[in-house]
Amino acid sequence: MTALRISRKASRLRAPSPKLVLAGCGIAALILAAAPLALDVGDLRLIIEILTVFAFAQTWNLLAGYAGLMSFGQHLFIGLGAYCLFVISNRTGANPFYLLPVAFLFSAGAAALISPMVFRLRHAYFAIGVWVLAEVARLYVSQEDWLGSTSGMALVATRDMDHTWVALANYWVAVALGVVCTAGFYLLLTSRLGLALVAVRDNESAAAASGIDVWWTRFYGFAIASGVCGLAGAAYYMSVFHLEPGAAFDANWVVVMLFIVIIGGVGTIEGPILGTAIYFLLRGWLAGTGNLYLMLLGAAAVATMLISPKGIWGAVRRRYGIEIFSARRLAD
Amino acid sequence: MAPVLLIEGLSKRYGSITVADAVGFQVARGECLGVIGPNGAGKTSVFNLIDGTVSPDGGRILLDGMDVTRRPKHLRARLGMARAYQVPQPFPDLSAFENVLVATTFGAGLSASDAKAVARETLRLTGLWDKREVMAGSLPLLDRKRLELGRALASQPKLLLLDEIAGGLTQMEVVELVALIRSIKPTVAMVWIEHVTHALSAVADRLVAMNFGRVIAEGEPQEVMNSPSVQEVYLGTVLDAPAAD
Repeated sequence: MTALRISRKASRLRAPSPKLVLAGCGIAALILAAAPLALDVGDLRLIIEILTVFAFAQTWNLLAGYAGLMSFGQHLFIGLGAYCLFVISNRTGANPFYLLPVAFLFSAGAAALISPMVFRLRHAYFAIGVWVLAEVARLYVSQEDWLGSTSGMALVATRDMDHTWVALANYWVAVALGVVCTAGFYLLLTSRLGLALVAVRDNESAAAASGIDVWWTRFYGFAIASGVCGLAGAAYYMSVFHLEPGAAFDANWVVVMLFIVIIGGVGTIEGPILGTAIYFLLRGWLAGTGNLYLMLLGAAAVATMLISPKGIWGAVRRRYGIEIFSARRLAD
Repeated sequence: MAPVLLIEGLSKRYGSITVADAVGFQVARGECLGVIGPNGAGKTSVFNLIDGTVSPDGGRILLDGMDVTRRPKHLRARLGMARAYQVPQPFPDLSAFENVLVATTFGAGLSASDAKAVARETLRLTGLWDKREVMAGSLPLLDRKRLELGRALASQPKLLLLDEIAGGLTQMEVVELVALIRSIKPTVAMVWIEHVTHALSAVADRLVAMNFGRVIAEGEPQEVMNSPSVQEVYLGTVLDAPAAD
């Protein structure tokens, strides 16, 4: 009886109209953009980190939750995006902020190039295949002097710029990234490509039988998610001014993405927002507990998976029938 | 009139097992070709070859005169092939409406507003309108079968491949299904694999009987059912009496 009631509720999800959602995103972005008026540099730095980590998680969610591609190697693109920006800026003296689109294109292009290879692998093999490529990239970068080898490199161009301005610009880049990963992804999911992505995720064979080119749909999903991930990586490392292969190509990035998406709810835009908040709260509370911290994070993720496989937002949505970013196409 | 579907010498072997051995037949617009045969005769395998799930070792597939033998599955779908699977293949985490919308958007290639309109129409036609916002994964079997047919119809096909869509339905439901199929029939070419033979004989203009991957008889329904080779295959099964289910 209870199950019946819940399922009837779930079939009538209340969701605001797309215009309202986008307007809400706009207001939230404006408030965030104006926040430097009231906050100091330390706060801004924390918000930059929160927003970029949120962007990492949201791109992983786009892959796993919507494109049906589980990748354990997305740190590859964090590293590629960041290295692309650092190397070009240091070599040419170009303003790194203008290089952000280049970092996006470079990461998306790298994803496009490896697609023919990694798409031959499925499921766990795909997940590990990309991970292996990330390791290869880390080892390669660590051995090349022109890439700074293991000790990495510092961003030269921003040294001579006005520090307050650089801090603000980094902050606004992070806010823009946050907007792209909520409103932008929301628009993407309501588009034709969004419909093709979820159809392929749900049933590959039926998607092909309905006229969807499965390979190219996955390709676009992978390239977009990886490109934005690389963009976020570039933005993150630009804000800390220093980059080294061990940190940029660190598999722990994927662990964080996984944790956030699993806790918050995979396959929803709201999930990673909630998950990011929980991750940073836990990190704050458990600071200084050493390895116990990682074990507690792991335990929290396992508990969530057992209790609510669709994460906290999945449970909220089912219980109360609310949805904010609904890509659902209604019949009337 | 030129046939919508023409297959010639279609063959497929897996090692020593031949699932299709020089299968050939054709279907014109407004015509329904029934395919019968015992389990394992290769009926579904021929569908897999026609719709591009499996590529043949030999033979040709012409859709509306165009050779699609080497075309991938999604292109065949866009060129006008649609298939309702024996085991329904919904998109479980999409609503019934969205399931049909996928077919109108990509299969039929309609613009956003037309795709929605045709999807709505299809749901009404297949009796799923009241369940339009229900996730396909939580629909009961009968509704999933309806949705399967609806998805195939929604792509506005020239060629409709129906794989045992009457199986498991009650007598009343079969009557409804037959009425629905008859109403669609004039606009498409149809190939229908079915064990529920009274449903098939109510619609089919011709029959093809298969066994061991080969066509063993083809022609008028009564003629095929009464042919000695078919009688032999179905020995012990009375084919021409109305089925009891």
